[in-house]
Amino acid sequence: MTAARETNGKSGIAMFSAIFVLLVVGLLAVQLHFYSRQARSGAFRFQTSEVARQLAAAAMEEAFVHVLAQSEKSDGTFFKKLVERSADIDCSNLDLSEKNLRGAEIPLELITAQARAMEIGSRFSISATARIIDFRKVDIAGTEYYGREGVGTLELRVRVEPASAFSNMISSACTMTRHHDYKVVAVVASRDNNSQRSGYAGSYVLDYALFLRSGQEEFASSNGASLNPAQQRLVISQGDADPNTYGKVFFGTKPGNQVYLNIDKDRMHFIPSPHQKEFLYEPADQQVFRLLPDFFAAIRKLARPMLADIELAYGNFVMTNFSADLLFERLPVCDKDLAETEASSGIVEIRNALKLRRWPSASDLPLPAEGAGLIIEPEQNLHQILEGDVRQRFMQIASLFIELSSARIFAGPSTDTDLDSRRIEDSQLLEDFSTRKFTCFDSENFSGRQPDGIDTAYLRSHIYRDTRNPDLFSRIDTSQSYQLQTNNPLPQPVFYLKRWSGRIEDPALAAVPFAHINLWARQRISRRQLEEFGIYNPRLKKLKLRGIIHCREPIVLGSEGDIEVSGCGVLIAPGIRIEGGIRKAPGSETVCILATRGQPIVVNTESRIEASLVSMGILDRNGHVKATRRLDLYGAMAVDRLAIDRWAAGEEHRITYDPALKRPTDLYQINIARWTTFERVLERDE
Amino acid sequence: MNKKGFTLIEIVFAMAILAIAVLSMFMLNRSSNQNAMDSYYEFLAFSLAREPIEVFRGFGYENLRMIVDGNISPPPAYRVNSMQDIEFNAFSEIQYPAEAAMFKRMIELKPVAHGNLNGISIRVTVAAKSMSRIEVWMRNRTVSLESLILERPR
Repeated sequence: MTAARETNGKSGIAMFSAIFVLLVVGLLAVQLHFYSRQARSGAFRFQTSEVARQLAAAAMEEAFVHVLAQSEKSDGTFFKKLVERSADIDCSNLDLSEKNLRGAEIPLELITAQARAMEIGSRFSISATARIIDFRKVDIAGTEYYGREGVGTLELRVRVEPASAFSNMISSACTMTRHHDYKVVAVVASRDNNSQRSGYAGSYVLDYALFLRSGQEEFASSNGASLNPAQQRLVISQGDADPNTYGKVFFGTKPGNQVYLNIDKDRMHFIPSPHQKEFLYEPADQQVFRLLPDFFAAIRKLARPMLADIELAYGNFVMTNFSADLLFERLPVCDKDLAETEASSGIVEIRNALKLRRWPSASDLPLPAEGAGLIIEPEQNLHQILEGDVRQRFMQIASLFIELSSARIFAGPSTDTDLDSRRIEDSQLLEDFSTRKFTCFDSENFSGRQPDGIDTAYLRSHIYRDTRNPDLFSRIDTSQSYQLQTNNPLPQPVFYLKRWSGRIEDPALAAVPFAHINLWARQRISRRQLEEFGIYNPRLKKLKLRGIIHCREPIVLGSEGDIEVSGCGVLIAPGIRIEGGIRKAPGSETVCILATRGQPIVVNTESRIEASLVSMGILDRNGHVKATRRLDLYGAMAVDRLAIDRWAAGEEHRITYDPALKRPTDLYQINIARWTTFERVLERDE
Repeated sequence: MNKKGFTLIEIVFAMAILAIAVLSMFMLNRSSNQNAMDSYYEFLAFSLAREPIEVFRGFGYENLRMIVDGNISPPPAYRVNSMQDIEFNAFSEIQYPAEAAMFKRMIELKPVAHGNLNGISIRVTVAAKSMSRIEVWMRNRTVSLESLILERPR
């Protein structure tokens, strides 16, 4: 009985042991199963997370491409939002906690279509927004930029989330945030032709069809030849009939100084009459003797052997049957006009005497030729075109003419009744003085005398004293505004420094164009990079500009033929050579500005160049354009010096102002950096 | 006579219960192993699918376009439009786990456009090689991943 119980007890333990083992194994199996389900679930989540992240990456790429493309369209909504920083996109002034509240939706057509075709991707919804999170309107030195110019940070945010129908099944989501710096720059700043600028704008020189910063200095050092070339002809015309869009012309006048442009024979209608000789004064016989001391000396010499008993002094000679007239006329000063019409009358010598303020001698070096090579059109609107103090220059000549063919000259006082016995006769002498022209000079501005000419001291001390007529004196007149009335002064331009806001009148102190380097879209790129970045493609002969691009190497444009330019921007290089024409692309707003920082721009083509040329230095003020062939520029030219003597001679060069540069509103460009300055990927898997 | 043993029926019944229990545990275990291995290989397959997308994204649109147009060839490890075995090589520049050699991969590039936007759609399909043990463990024989690489305006 006892043995049976023991046996039964042992069998009970074995069974319990088996059940225990089974339970343990079962628990392990359940646990393994639990873990494997977890792994399975994890793998699914990994899959959905990976899909969400790839969708986010592609969506971010599409959003950025979309933003880049839209920021190029100046008439587009997104462009305007960025430039004007409209309230729905600008978070730059909000508190940090509120910066996510605004943003412009960005359409994502491509990635949405692709996701729809994917098995897992179709279960996600994708959205993208853009917002401005920071914008700086001053540079590092605290100088304020022009208008809406500035540097900002654009935030792009892409959200990939499970669609509402799948939110229970999929818990993965991905939010990707990127920051890109962007720049807003005014390629053309608006300008009202009837008023001056109120602050610095980098593109201020585009207001002008021709802008000479150091023109005054160049003009003075060349004695006016720089603006009055004899060998070159430069026509500055306007491309539009509307005076509001005229490009100004500025020759670098300093306050108190003036420049002049010679009036040539073709523009004589701007010179007040008389253009032919006109009566001024009729001197008496005694005045003739005084005015012409050489004539009087010859008479006295003839009288001396004949009349030893009288004093041979002024007052003891009488002349009758003669005519003497002081006449004056206004004439051009240009060599070509004088050579054509007045060569025989010694007018060139008279002009040179007026320039030298003494009668020229044989040992004098030849004087520079006088030309009138600068033509500004249209003539009737010059008061709306010119700025500064620009005078017109012509000659005003007063001369004494005496007709002595019938003259009778007697020695002795006029009261003497026996005049015939005292008559001095020398037909050769009378004929000699009858054919000559005696020019009247002002003794205060003229040293010496014309050979056998007028006693300038007597002219001033007696005849001028009596008449008070300044036209008695010959002069080169620069008293009148260029082709305008004297009482119609030209507006004085106003300039600005970059770093200080005060207005200045000396263009030599004004900031160089596009001086805010941190608004440049690209800096110090190479010629090769110009091609790589799609800016200039010599093979396709295309130039595409957007914003301000700075190349660190000199560049040659158009060596393969005429190039087509599109977009709005500035290309700056340390030297530019243009070998072919530049045409604007049809159908789009195009503004092309080619600029150097003082290095020359060489134009070696006769083809039309639809661009603006800017050559202005920072330290050395010697920037200029050199046209080695006939220049046909449609745009604007802004240089330190005109240096037109280096241009092709015997050609008519032409600058036609592009009305697109004179706008009532600013023309901005946006450059968004390709570089990502900040990125955050937030993957959610709950 | 008082000694009682188990009847045959009792033993058969007990063995049946035990068999069911063990079989259940065996099935559960097998399923667990399947899930675990499937997860691991799927993870590996997705990693192999993601790799060329990241590499091609680095190439950029212009280079990809030249690959699509046949002007240049992609790197040997990333041939397009053909199923390519992934090779395990201890001396190659890109090191894969040894199990990666049991996969093959196909990269497909397709130009897409919408308005002025141009892009290349990239689809990578990773499949288990036939007769490999991955075929046994992976429920989905292939995994695929897609993305988009877009042309940026200059």
